[in-house]
Amino acid sequence: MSSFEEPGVSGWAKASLVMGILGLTALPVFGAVLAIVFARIAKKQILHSDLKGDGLATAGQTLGIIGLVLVAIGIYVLLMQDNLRAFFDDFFNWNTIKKWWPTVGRGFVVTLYTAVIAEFFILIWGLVLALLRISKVKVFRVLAIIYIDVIRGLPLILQIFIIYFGLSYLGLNFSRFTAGIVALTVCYGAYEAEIYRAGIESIHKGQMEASRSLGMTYMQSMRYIVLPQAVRRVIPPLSNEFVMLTKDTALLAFIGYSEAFLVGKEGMGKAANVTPLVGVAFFFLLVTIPAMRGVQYLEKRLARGD
Amino acid sequence: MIDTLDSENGNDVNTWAPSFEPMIKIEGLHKKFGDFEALKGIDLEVMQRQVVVVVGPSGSGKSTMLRCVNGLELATRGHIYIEGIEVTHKATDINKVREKVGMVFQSFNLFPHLTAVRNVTLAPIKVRNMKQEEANQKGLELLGKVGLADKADAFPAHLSGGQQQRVAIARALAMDPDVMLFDEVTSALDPELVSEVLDTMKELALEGMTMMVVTHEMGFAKEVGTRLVFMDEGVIVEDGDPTQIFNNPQHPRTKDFFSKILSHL
Repeated sequence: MSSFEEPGVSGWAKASLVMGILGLTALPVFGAVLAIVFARIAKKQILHSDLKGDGLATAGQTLGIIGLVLVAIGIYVLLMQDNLRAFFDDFFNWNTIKKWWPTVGRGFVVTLYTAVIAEFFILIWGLVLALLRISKVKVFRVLAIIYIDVIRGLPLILQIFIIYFGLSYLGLNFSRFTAGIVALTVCYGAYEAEIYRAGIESIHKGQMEASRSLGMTYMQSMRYIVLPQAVRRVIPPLSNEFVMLTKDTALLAFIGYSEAFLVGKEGMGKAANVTPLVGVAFFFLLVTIPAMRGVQYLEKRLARGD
Repeated sequence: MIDTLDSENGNDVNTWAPSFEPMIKIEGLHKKFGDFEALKGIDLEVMQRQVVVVVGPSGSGKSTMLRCVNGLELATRGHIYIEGIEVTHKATDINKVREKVGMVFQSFNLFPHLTAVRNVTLAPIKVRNMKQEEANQKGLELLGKVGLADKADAFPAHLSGGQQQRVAIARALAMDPDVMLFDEVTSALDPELVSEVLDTMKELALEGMTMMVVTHEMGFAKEVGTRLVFMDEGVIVEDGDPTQIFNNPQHPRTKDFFSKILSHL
């Protein structure tokens, strides 16, 4: 290879890009196919010579593929026109959106505050369980292990039913809201206990020893030394649990609690289409996707901070 | 077999001591970890103002003995008294005892989420109910004493190993202990940072602090130690004046140990 001469760009690659553009505009299908064929030739040529233009060929090839896919979609839409219209009528019915999405939105507000209130109790209950789980007192430890294993071994929906219907026989008449909060706390407390425990156990035992050797009690050491460090580490997984909790709040629909999903289901019956449920999905994603992004951001920041 | 400290020996080292009541008294201390017997009957009395340097090969039980003294490890058998209070007794409030016994660790164990001065003041505030301002003043004073007054607001992660260890010493001193335990406090340090920590300890010794120092720093043992205890396989093999033991070790195991480490000096 001569170092004085700039190697030229493959003509096939240039042609491929031109065809790719034509395939999206004036020459559908034909241009796109040619763009892909030319790109292949160009790539082979570039591989065996000094010529440049690999990026160009890739661009042409990509445009060609996009051109073909668009044509395919166009044909499909043309053929399935009626079905698609029916689909949109069912899932994105404008009249239903206008009439039902605000109602569904209000239902979702219920979902959100139910999740927030439940999370408040879960954070406390989970911590209590975690502390019992790592207690030096064997009875506490065993009871906590049994609780956590049993709860984590049962479907949440079952726990919701058992707590709502079962406890009324014990003379405890829970409202749907209270039963819902209790069921979510009972269940998620067990999961969050394990997260707390992992966080506490991840703190080097030298921290506890240093603290104890200064004359601080076990509880003081936990409160001022171990927990502040542990909590920092478990914020991302706990936030993840909160996203899951928000979604699982929908299960309270099965005991007739009027949160987003139940409202959406009623709406579906009344409007005779699926649009209200699509609304429910819309509102969930509106909150869960940013929340999940936020958790990832937190994870990265905390990882840097350590 | 075991050279326990006879009264003659104890007085010898300690003729100038104001009190003849031992600060630390260890009687027949045994410690088992599962099937492994780390301590096989330790008897030791540490008098006030003594600087007892404990040396020996790794695994000889030095650190375990030290950790038994403030109850970080529970004795399997035997008794430990600090200023006459039995540490090993069930009814003893171990937290009260620990207030009197400062400890510094090999791995510093500073609290990473607190600034240097908060590391020092936390225990006085929470255990002694000391007022924030008073504790702060004392904390700054102690940090000044270890030469780190300007680092009061720094977090441990921003301090060198030597600085962290000096903060750890200040932290232990904040509870006004009567005894200080040092558990291989220079072993995790880069060589150039060792002397700043040893100097701080030397100063403390000169002020009359009673100290038990587990270390591999033989220079420190010779210069600062008022007494040397050589341990091997869970027993005290030799116990006496540091210079005498260095120059004229009696027991073959002591001879062997010193010949191995002193050949590097």
